[in-house]
Parts: sequence; structure tokens; C-alpha cells
Amino acid sequence: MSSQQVETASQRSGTRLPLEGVRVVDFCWVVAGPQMTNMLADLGAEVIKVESRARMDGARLGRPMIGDDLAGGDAGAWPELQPLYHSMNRNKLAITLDMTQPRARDIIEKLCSISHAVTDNFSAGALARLGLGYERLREINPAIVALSISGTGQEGPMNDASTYAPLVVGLSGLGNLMGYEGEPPLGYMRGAYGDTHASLFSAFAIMAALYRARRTGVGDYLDVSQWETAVNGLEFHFLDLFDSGKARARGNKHPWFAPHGIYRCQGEDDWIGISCESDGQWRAICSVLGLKEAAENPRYAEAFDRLSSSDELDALIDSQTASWEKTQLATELQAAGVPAAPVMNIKDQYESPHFRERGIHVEASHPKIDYEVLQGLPWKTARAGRGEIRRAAPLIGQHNEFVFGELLGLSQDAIAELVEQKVIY
Amino acid sequence: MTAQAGPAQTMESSPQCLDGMRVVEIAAGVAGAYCGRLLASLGADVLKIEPPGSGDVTRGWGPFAGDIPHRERSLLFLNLNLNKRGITLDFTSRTGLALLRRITAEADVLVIADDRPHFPEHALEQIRDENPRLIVALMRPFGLSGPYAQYKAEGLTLFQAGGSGYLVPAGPAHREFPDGQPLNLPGHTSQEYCGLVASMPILAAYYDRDGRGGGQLIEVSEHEAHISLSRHQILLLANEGLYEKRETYHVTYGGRVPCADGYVEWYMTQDDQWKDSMRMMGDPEWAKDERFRTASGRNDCLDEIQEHLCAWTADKSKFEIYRMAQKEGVALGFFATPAEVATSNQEHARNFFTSASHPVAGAMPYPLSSYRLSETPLRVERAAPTLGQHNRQVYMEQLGLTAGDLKTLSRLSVV
Repeated sequence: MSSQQVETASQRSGTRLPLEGVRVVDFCWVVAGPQMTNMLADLGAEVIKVESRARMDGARLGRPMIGDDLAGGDAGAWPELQPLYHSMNRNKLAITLDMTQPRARDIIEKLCSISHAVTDNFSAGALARLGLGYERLREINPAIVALSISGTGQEGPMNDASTYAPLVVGLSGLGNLMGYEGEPPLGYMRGAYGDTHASLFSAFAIMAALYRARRTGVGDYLDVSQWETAVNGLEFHFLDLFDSGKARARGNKHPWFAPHGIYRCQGEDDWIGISCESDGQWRAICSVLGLKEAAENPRYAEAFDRLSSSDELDALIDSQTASWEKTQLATELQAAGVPAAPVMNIKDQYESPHFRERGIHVEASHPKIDYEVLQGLPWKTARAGRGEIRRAAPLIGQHNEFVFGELLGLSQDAIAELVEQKVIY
Repeated sequence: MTAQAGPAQTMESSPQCLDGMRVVEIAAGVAGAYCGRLLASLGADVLKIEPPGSGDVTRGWGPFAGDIPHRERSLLFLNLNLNKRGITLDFTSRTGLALLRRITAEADVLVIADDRPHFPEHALEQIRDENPRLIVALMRPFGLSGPYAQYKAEGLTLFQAGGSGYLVPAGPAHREFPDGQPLNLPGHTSQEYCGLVASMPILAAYYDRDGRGGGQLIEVSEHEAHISLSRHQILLLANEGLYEKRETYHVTYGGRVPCADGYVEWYMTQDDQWKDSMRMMGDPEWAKDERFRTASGRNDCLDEIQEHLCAWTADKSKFEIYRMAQKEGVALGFFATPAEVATSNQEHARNFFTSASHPVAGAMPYPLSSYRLSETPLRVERAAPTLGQHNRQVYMEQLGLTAGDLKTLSRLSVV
């Protein structure tokens, strides 16, 4: 595991991150938005997170990582002890402004005039209601790129739908497709997919728009529908539906290959995922698992026949895998050229020698908890490696002085007055 | 740099964000092709290179348009390659490699997501030497280093090795099927997710290149792409020693709740969400019980609460409940079937599904990207390329070969 100290980027000579020089005014909160600006910040952008004590970022609420004051955490007593907040907001700066106050809007307008992008994931139209819609932002700064993530988009008959990631997953059709074959849908019981997909699509789109804005001097407004980002992951299913009139069945089967499934191994809750994309891989699976008869059975020799016998094949494989240790079996199958992998639970994943060697989890320091483990970016570049954690997640209002004073040129007295009036709050 | 033969047909509208970006895609399978699709959707000129003869492997994967197996009718291929141009080229031959180098010499980005062992290692160095401004993205199932570097993978194995598969289904759904195996994401979702992740460093490097002048080599691990899906659980384990398992994860009331004609997804873990939900239900007597006053009290009575919720939803349709929930500000959605999504008024209003016409497969609607740009509206320029559709355009118009050269290359199975 690699250990990284805060602020090392500026100390390291010759390292330049790709988005250095890009300034983002970031109204994002909770998960979907901050994960997007997290990527921009990791890639070098100066992301200025706008928060308020009047209505704290939901990711600052909840059970603190030290102690067990759940009720206090929910009420906002432990805003600096939230690991998910730390993870999604590292490398960002943070200021506090109560946006319901008119003077806060003036300050933000000034900040937008010297920034490249404005981001939010409020419900549809919220930023416009604060007087900061794209029309206004464009007047202030014609090159600005604004991006809003909302549950179902800024327009359309459902644009006012109140949504959370798990609900979006339900609405997208994904919930309906998750479940065991022949059984009712179980849904995808978590928010991760709904939020993460939206974050990634948004980060992708905003980088493209920033590129164009720099070249042409003309900004853009991006309206991202979280619902559509979830549907986008299923696009192939929709084509199939339009063509055949049928939606695919639930379960772990592949529309085209068999066997393709998750099989029980030794241990209480241990499994292996195996897929077979070719005749050769089928023979290799049989050889590793000692399925001699099946290997010679002409009914299983060709892809199409295997697909129609997939239940039989699954039962055959299950009968053998149960006596194997999952990692050992995956190693043997891989050696024989078969795409197979142990189903990694959270512990397996964190302790995986592969992840360790590649340094995906990094230690970073944080003023309130000494150090913590965070996740690095899932790519490496020859020059900048994984990007890095050059700054811990900000304390609430930590960069007020820098942003209001140095960037916007407000005097100490003016700042003190704004604090007094709870505009900076 | 010489002039490019740009996209074959240009439509009259404002330039898109990535107009002018030239991408060469060598991608067997889904992940790299999806990355190319995303870049093409914002205006990049993506040139897909397929092996001569059979073409890309996904051309052989069903289901097929009209249920007719044909290399131009694979729904997966048609969708993954929307808006691209396509040529055939066997770059494992010396002549083929020389042609590839001429093509990449004029490109901005090269996406390689092809674990076929015959992609010549030294070729990559040559290609980068000849075009130092080239951004090369190497996508590999488990990255280029580490004990699994040589492992093969496809969607199911990536998702399950990435940690999030193990947690599906969790909590109440797992209790319903305690012996059930972990579930996979449907279809090709998992690999498309890798393509989406890979597009990120490519665009960042492209943005950076103008200012700095140089190309980049980017390594994307498709395995690592998945771990952001279980980020929270990893952090809990790493920092607090809390280990989420399928039995313990997401145990709460609400979640997926059956109703008269399907399921709703109901979210009420926070106090105000609980209050909103009870108000929607007409503040029932049972909810006034002292035990349900606090979140921790309610957590001790999960099953009891769930029974009450199910009893209330049992005679109501999902749309009926959804409408009530929206009125009361309750965090509740419903399980839409894909057919319901496809016919939804919301998506019609946003023109989410847009038609493109293909010479063999015909016209069909494709889902557009999930963002709308006010200044640079998205458009479908063209359907997926037929096998070798742009050979003449690229080899003759762009590289200056003669018809005779092309014939010879074809005879040698290079093109």
C-alpha cells in the first residue's frame, strides 16, 4: 500500500495534473454530484464546494467514524467524521454560504465570473430559482459550462419527481431485471449503481464541454437525467425489446453464451463466477472440473446447444465446484484459458494481493483522524500515476479566507461582516 | 499534419463538443467499443478497426435484428458502434501494421481493448514514437500489473471480482433466497461501465494535451472500474473494521415492497422520510406506537413494520402509490418494466430514443446519451458501420492507396 501525504503534488516536481487551471463552483451534495466533482478534483481541477451550515451536505450527516453517536451524527454534530464525505470530497476546497441570502448570490456571481464550470445536483430548476440559472450564468461568463444532475431531467412531465438513487434504479428497469430466473424481481438493493453511473456520465460530458468552451470561448449547459444514466447501462435490453417485443429474463445467464453463472464453492458463502465464450473454453472447464462425460457429450459441443442446455450445465458445474476453494479454482480455470474469478466479498477485495500490489487503496492524512484509507482512481497514467490525494476533504468552511479574500479580494472587515450577518454560514 | 477525411456525412447543425477529435478503436468485445461509442456520441470521429473476414467478435453475438443471425444484425454490435466509421485491417501482418501506423499517425486517441495476445508489443512503442501527441488508452481486465494481470474476464467475472456483485441481493431480498447465489448485472451493463470509466482519463488527457503538447499512455483496469460501486463498504472495512455481508447489508424496512401489480421501491431510513411516509398512509394507528418513534426503535421492529407497509400497498397499483408519494414528497419509486420505460412520457418528451437507419438491419430506435447540451445538441450521424464500409474512404481517400493496392491487400487478407 502506498502512503501519500497531503499536498505532495505541489512538492513533486514535474507532475502536472490534466485539469490543472480549471476552476469549478460546486453546489453538489450527497453522492451523485460530489462523486462527479471528485473525479474532476482528482484530475487536478480546483473544485470549490459551496456548503452551508444552514442545510448541511447529507454526506456530512450520519454515524461518525469515531464513537457511536448516531442521533448526534444525524443532527449534524459530526460533520468532519464521515468517511464517505472524506472519500468523495478529497482534493476540493470548501466555502460556506447561505444561498437563501441575496448577498450570497452576489458573491457566487463574482466567483462564477472567474470560473470555468458550475455544477449542482439539486432537484430540477433549483439553481434557477436561486437566480443562478444558465441564462444568468451565461450573462456573467459566456464561456461557463453549467451542469445539473437531476433525478429525471430538467424538462418533461416528470421533471419534478423527487428521486434517490435506489428509486432511479427501480424506474430505469434495472430493478425489474435483477432477480433469480423465474422468480419475482428483487431489485438492485443499493444506491451505488444509480449514483455512480450518473457521476461518471456527468464527469465525461462536462470534460467534453469544457474542452469545447476553451477552444471556442462558448459555454454550454448540460442537463443530466439520473434516470437516463441508469437506462443507458441497459440500452442493449431496450434494443432487444424494440426488436423482439420481449424483455430478457432475470438471472445470471448470458443472452448468448452458456455456461455463464455463479457457482457455490467450499466455505459458508463462497462462490465463483465462470463464463464460457467458446467451445475451447467449454472443454477446458470440463477438464479442470473433471467432467469427462460432459466434455464428450455431443449435445454440449456447440455454443447454440449449450445455450439450450444451460440448466443442465449449471447443475453439472455446481456439482463439482462445491469441493473447490474459490481462489484456487479460479487460478486453475484461468490457467486453462477460462474467464473465471472468485466472487470477492468486501474483505477479499480489500485484502486482495492484486489490489495491494496495484495500490488502489491509499492512505491519506486528515486533520481530525490522523490518517485514513481512501480509494484511488481506477486508472493510471504514465505521467501522473493514479492522480493523487494532495489534500484531505475540507473541513466545513475551511477555505473561506482563501476564496473570499484572496480569490475575490474581499477585505477582512467585509468577510467579518458577512460572517456576522450569517451570509457566510 | 495532413487533412483528414472526416465523417462521411455531415449534418447542418452546431459543431459538437468533440468535433475534430480523431479516435482509432481496436476493441474486441464490449468495454472498449462502448468507450468509443461515448466519444462518438459527442462528435469524435471514431474509426473502428475490425479483423478482416469475420469482423468484430460481437457481430456474432445475438440476439439479432428480426431474429435473423447475420453479422450486420447483431443488436449489441449495432448499438455499440453507433456513429462510428469502420474498416477492416489485419495489423498482425507487417503490411497491416504499416497501414495501422499510418492511420494512427494522424489520430488523437488510440483505444486498445483487445487482449488477443498477438497485438505486437513493439508496435505500440513505434506508434507512440511516430505520433508523440497520441493518447493511448490500454484497457485490460485486471490492468497491466499484479498477480491477475494475465487473467481473462468478461462482464460477470469483472462484476463479481469487483466486490459489488457479492452484495446482490442483500438484506431482505437475500433473506427471501438464503441459498441463492450472488446476482450479476443484466446483459453487458458491467462491461459498458468499464468503457464509461475509461472515457474519463482519455478526455482529461485530451484536454491537457492542447496546453502541454504531448500524448499520454493510460492504463485502465476494468476490474478497478468496478470498485467504485462498493466504495462505501470498502471504506467501512478499511477505516472502521465494519464488514458488510449479504445478510447484514441494507437490512431495513421499505426497500422493495410488493403491491397489487408489481413493486415499489420505498426509501425511509431518515426521520423526515419516515414522517412523510406515514403522512401519505394517513397516519395509521399502528405507527403511533412508542417503539416506532425513533430510527433505532424502528430498526428493532423491521419485520413488523414491513408487514404493515405490505398490507397498505397490497390493494394499490404502483402508479397509484407513486402518484401519492410524489404529492406528499415521499421518497418512493416503482419497478418499471423495460417496456414501461420505453413508452414513458418523460422519455418521449426528452427524445431519449432516437432512430437511426442501417442498410441491413433497417431503422430502429437507439437510446441517446443521458445528457442534453443546450448549445451542442446530440445527434445520431449514422448507424453502425457494415463490415469494411469505410475501407475505400480511409485507404484510398485518406491514405492515398489505389484501387489496385486495395485489391492486393484484400487478396492477402490484410484488408
